[in-house]
Parts: sequence; structure tokens; C-alpha cells
Amino acid sequence: MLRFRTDLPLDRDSTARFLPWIIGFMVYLAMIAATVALVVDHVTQRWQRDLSGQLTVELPAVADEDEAAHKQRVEDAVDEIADTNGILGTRPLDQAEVRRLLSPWLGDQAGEELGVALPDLIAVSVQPGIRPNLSELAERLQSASPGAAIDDHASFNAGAMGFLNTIEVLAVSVLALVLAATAGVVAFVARAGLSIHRRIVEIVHLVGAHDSYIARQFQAQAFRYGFIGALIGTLLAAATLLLAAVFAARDAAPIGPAVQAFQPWMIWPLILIPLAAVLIAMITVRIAVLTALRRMAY
Amino acid sequence: MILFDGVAVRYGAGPEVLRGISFTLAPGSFHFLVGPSGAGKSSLLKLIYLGLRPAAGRVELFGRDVSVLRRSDYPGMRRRIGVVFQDFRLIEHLSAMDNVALPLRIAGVRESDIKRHVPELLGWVGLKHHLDALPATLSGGQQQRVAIARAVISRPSLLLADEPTGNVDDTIGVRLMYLFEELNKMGTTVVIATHNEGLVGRFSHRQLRIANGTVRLVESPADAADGAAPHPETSGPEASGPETSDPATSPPAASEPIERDAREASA
Repeated sequence: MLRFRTDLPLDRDSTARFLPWIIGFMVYLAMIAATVALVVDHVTQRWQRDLSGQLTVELPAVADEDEAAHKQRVEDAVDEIADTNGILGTRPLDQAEVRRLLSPWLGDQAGEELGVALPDLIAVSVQPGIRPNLSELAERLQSASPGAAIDDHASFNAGAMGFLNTIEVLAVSVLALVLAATAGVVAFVARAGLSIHRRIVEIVHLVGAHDSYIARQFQAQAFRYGFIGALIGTLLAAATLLLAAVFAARDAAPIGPAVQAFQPWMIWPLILIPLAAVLIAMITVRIAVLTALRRMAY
Repeated sequence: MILFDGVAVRYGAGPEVLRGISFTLAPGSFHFLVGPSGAGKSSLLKLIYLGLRPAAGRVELFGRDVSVLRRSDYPGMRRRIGVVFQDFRLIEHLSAMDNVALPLRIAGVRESDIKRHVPELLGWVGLKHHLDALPATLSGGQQQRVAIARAVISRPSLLLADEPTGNVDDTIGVRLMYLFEELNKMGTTVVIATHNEGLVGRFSHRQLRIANGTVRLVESPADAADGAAPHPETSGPEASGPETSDPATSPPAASEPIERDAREASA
């Protein structure tokens, strides 16, 4: 398959024999790393979009406040929030909802048996792409309900995003390392080939070959091995992703959310990886061979 | 064609193998390079085919000072030189056909032309039935002829042969000499390195004699007697024949006598 006529018997080199498998393994690792990077990036963006559209306003409980005053205070706060530019809507949470949210810390009977006054919470939706002036809102809220606080989920957002971004950076780093390792292996094999066939290279030079003529023969081999390796790696990666999809379909599979985050459009950037591997192999070989030939005396 | 002026050769930090070498070879000339084994014949040929740089002096090839050549200039110069190496230097995994076709493929000649001319030349040197044979399956003499065919396939301006008869018997050696003379008549400048004095004596050509690291030009008795050929020191470029021609459009013109030789060889 993909045989080219060459003056150098590069296919017979023991160092080159396993090159398609090595490239295949590298392409496989690179595709898996790229899949992880793409999925994590997608999840991160979606998460960021969701969280950036939500605010929570907390109105602390006021001791000995009667029901009418309490209701008025919450309504005033809601009016202040609604008057702010970029606010899409507000929804005061009833006491049962607040109790449910606090139950992890205060237990199921939070606020009743313990006699702790619960704060009022107002869920606020923000128009996408608009950042409300929260400091100005916080000042106005102080007059409506002293001690009111705004939680824009920044600290949680920052922690979660930092974690996801770290995974993404790691995945991209693995991808870059794998491609760099591929280039290194290919360059090593090319240099070994030059050493093994030094005599033939000399003959070819002496009958008038330019360095680029010899480099083209190595490039043809790199293309062939790179193509076969890319095919092996792509097939293995496709099989792995299919298996992941099968496992994800089962209940309680931990990889379920990740597989669900995989989008059909992600196939296109993934397909670029085997193509890039072939291209990297050919360019690396050309540079390695031309550099080595320039050091030769003849 | 070739000018050596005070040329010296040294390998690494060793002593000078050749020193003070000065001579001029005119285009279309035919010279034997004679000397005992180890005298420096191969080193001198290496200097000419750009396989070695002189330690001192000036070498001019086709009117160009080789010391100022860039690496990228070498292939163009080498394509004008055909070399028959002492050890043939055939590529073992390539057939006779592919070995001979190598200079043409490197020069970018079309495959259709290669398939037409290479078998013709191999037939010319008596290897018509060995086109697909690998060098290892050929005899020494046959390998020698493949090497010669490779050296002449692109009709070089200059043919260098290092002990081309060293691996064959006298009969084949003489036939190969006829082949070189045939090429010389077609305009190729020929330099044959040999230590076979008997062979040199049978042909009337000038000699470059190497001894003790120096070269001495000796006129052949026949040339000296009839003065038919110009002296290499004084002859000009107009003495040359055609320098180069496209191998794709110029098949071997003198195939008749060589095929006769080949038939004699197989008889």
C-alpha cells in the first residue's frame, strides 16, 4: 500500500519498521487528549454561561419584624433589583425553598426547631451579555433592606472554572507533547535511516542529486508511514469513543455527562489531528534530513 | 576543462598525499592516470568529481574555481561528470536497469524516455538480458559494465574511471577501453586511472604519471610521433567535441561496434 519508488531501501530499516504503530499510538493519544480538551472546553463555556446569568440577593432576617413589614421590605428590595439595568427577572424564594437550601448545614428542620430566623433569598436572572452595576445595586439595596448582600457566584465560579481550565490545559499540553514526541521519533528514524544508507546517499549525491532529492525520498516514506499510523490511531480513537458512548448509555456510568457533552461538530477538529500528524512527520523528516545532509562532507 | 594549479591533498592531520600538482586537461582529451597502488590516483579523481577538497592550490572544473562553489552548485557540476568507481558503487537493492537510470531520474528525465534509453544502453554494453538483475547476481565484469553504463547514460562532458579494468580479465578490459575511446570520439573528456601498464601500453594516449605525491605529464609515443592530438597544456576549448546533450533525445550513436564487442564477449 502507498509504495513509492525510492533509491534508498528505507522500508528495510529495522528502526522504521515500527514507525506506523508508533505514529498510530501517538495519533490515538492525541485524539483522546483533544477530545477531553474539547469536551471540557464546551462544558466550561456552558457552565460559565449558565452561572453568569444568575445572581442571588440575600436579605438578612430582622428580629421582631411583623409580617407586613417583612413583606414590604422584600417587595422594596425586588423593586430596587428590577430597576437595575440588565436584570431580566426576579423571583423571591419562599421559606420552604430557603429551608431546603440550608438543610445541608442546618438539618431538615432548619429555622423551625432551632429557632433561627432565616434570611430571604431572591433569585435574579441577568440578561445574557450584560453585566449589571452590582455595587450601585448593593448601595440602593441597603436603604430597602439593610445588610442585603449580592452573591454573583464569583468565588464558586472561579474555583470550578479554574479546575476545568486546568484539565483543559493539561489535555492541550498532552496533545502538544504527543505531537512533539511524534516529531522527535520521526526525526530520529530519519537520521538513523541516513546513517544506515550513508553509502547510497553518497552515491546518489555523486551522480548529481540535490539534497532535496534525497529528502523527498524520506518524505515519501514519512507520508506512507504517517498515513498508515494516522489511520490506525483514528480507528482506535473512534473505537474508544464508541465504547465510551456504549458505557455512558448504561445507568450510573460516571462518564455519562462527559459523553453527553460531546458534540457532533467536535469530529471536525479531531479529524485534523491525523492529518496534522502526517504533515508534521513529513515536515520534520525534511528538516532533519536536510540538516543532516548539510553536515555531510560530500 | 580541468585545471590543477599547485594542488595538495591531505587527509586530516596526516602528511600530504599529493603536493604541487599542476596540469591542464583540454576538453575532448583522453588521459591515463598511471601510478602504483596507493600513489594517489583515487585522491586525484576525487578532487575532480568534487568528492574531496584540496588542502592547497586551485582546482578549476568546466572553467569554474571549485573552491568558491556553493554546496548547491555541486549537483549541477556532478551531472556533467560520469564516474566509474573502482568498487563500482552500484546500489545493491536496485536492478541493473534502475542503477543505470539513477542519473536520469535525478535529472528529472521522463520515465518513458528512461524506459527507452536505458535498455538500449545496457544492450550496448552487452547486458540486454540482465535488465532486472540485481548487482549481487551479476559477475564482476557485468557489474563493471553496469557501472560504466550508469556513468555514461547522461552523456557526461567528463568521464572518470578508477581502475575500470581492475576486476575484469584482459579481454574484457580491452573491450571496455574501446568503449571509452568510442565515448571520447563523441566528445567526452576521459581520464582513466589504472596501474595496469600493459593496458596503457596498448593504447596511444597521454599519461599523467603519479609518483611520490607528484604528477608528471607523459606524451604517448604514438602521439609524440604523429602529433595528431593537441598538447593538453596548450590546447584550447575549441579542441573539444560536443560537451553535453540530452540523454533523452540522444541515444547512443555508436551502438554498432559496442554490440559487436558484447557479442564477442559472450562468444
